[in-house]
Amino acid sequence: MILKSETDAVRPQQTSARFVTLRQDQEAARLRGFLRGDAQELLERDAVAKPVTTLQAGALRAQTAEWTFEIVQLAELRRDPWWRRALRALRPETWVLSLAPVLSTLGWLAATSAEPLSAWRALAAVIGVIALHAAMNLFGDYHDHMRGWDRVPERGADRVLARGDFRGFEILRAAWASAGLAALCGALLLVANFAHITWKAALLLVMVLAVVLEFGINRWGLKYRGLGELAAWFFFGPWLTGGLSWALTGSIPWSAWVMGLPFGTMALLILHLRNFERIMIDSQAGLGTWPARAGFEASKKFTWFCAIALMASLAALLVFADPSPERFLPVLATSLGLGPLVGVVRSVRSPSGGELHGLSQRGLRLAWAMALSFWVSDVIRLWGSAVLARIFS
Amino acid sequence: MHEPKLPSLKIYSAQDFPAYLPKLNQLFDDLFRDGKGFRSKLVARVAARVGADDRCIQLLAQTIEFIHNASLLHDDLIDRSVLRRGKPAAWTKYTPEYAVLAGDYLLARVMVNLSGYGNVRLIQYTAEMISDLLEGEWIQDSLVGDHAVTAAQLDRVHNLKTGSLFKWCLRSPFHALKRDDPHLHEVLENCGIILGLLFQRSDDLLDFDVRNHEGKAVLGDLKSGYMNSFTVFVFEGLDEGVKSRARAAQSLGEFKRAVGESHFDERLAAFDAMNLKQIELYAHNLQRLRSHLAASEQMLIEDLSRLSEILYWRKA
Repeated sequence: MILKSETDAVRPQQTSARFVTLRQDQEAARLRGFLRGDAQELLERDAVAKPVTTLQAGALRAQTAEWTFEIVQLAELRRDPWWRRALRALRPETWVLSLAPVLSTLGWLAATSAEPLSAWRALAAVIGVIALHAAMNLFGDYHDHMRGWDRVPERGADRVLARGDFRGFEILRAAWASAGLAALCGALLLVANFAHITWKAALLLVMVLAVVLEFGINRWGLKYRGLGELAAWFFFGPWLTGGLSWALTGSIPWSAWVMGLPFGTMALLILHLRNFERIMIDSQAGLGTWPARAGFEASKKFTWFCAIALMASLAALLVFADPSPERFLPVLATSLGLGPLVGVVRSVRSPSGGELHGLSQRGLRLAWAMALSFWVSDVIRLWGSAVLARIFS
Repeated sequence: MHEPKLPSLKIYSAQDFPAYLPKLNQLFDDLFRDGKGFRSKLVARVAARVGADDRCIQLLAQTIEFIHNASLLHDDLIDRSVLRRGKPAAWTKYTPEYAVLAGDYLLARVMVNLSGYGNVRLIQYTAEMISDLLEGEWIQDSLVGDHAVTAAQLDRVHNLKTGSLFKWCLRSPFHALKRDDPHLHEVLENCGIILGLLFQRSDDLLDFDVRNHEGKAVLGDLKSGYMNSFTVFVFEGLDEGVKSRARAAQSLGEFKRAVGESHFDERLAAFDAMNLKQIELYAHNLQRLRSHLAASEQMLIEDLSRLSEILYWRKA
């Protein structure tokens, strides 16, 4: 069956039953409908338009003005259950980047704060941060899809939209819903802390919102001009810990910023590993990530730098922010995990090598290990305090 | 089918190279004598269909064979392959130094010939293609012994190596005729990418004696530590112990027993199905090419449509 339209006579050839190629300069509206998944011809046939993967790096710079889609009936797609697809879309394995600083800072504030923490504020903060992170992931996937980035295998061909798990407009709706939830939580916290709003806090909030928007939508391409790494360090590090401290106590002591250093550095490491995995395609496409700019050997060395910076930031936390014996646990766990990771990076011999594949996933596993060690140390601290209180009561 | 009028192609002539350089012409005589000349025939056919004159066709045919054979001279030395087309490789029969220099000489000759033709865009495109070829060879060399390489990574390397030559065969005639429309070249690029993938994947199947009419040595890639695209495909989902046993196999039977005969057959069927989809995508791109060709050039579509069958199923 050939897909037709009323202006087919002036349209470029051709469609087969399975494949359709659309040119941006000639069929912008139809292309948009295919990308969003709400084109009438797709909805009528109960089909999705999966972008065909390309080996052309130019697709990342919108230098190819054509999209080829494979039209697949929903019934033909062997889709997982809805909940599994939704989970895949939300990418919970990345939530460690925001959960780790939030929960660790909560534990630290609970142990060191003079006043007891408000449970509802803590809950609002956790939910808000997770919702914001999920929204960033969803917006990022949607906008990468609309730009055609998920046609490039290294840049998202395994993501939910490229796989046909969801239609574009469904992901966009979910992104807005998640952002709305985050905004609601944020608004509640702002109202609760209204008396503590200073110009510094307001400026910080505006900066962060700008960073988050740019990270998710990449409208100005700043993410791929070397600023993504800095943004990741700041957002997942000092901003989250400082912001959480403000949300729960109305103040941001300098130790709250120090709390954020290891988490920000971990986020920087993971983003660097992910960009290192993509060094070849990013370089060919002219994207300015740090590995693409610095080159293969320098990128390996930068991993060493991140590892050293991570250990140094953990030491700084131990000395300046949270000098409790339990905090040796994260230092130990992280150092044990870093060794093998850095070893793998050392063994990478090729920008197309197998050891590169999955580096960022290894980084995420290390982040989870570090996060768990922080939470276990919090539990030990609380349990220890309770036991000591009982002994001496 | 109406065959295009092709000039008699002379790829190599001793008069083109200095006779005073010892062994150079002997080396080239050996090199060009036994080749099938598939790429030169392809580019000649495309060029003839779109109205290139005999001088242009001869130039393009010689260019692609020079580049292809230069890469073979270098590849055989890099891979330490002792045979080429059933005969001793140039670096073993002459010296490694002569093999490298002969390859470089061919590439230099290409630039001399193209410069003489005077089409700057053609020169630029050819230089880009050679650059891609070298990049692909560099990366492929770094993948020897890499057991964790993925299919996507291999595709990218193959696109640089094998794909570059096929893309050039399709695009260079149009550049030679100063038909530089980016949309035309995008379609041709897509076709070339697919042909390169199909050719390489079918070549990788020969390593497992699948449709091996040429009698290519079996398990050559595996034994030399290189995971080709079909090996990676078969290994998907298998545990490390099975992969390790399969990698150590000295015969095809041993390999199949290691991975499981039924698993091997299932993966072969899935591999063919995956490539059938590529063939369909190729046909789709060929149909799109129609709108860029004049009525007198439409026979090119029929010529090119047979290629996917020839390259993947190895049928003439």
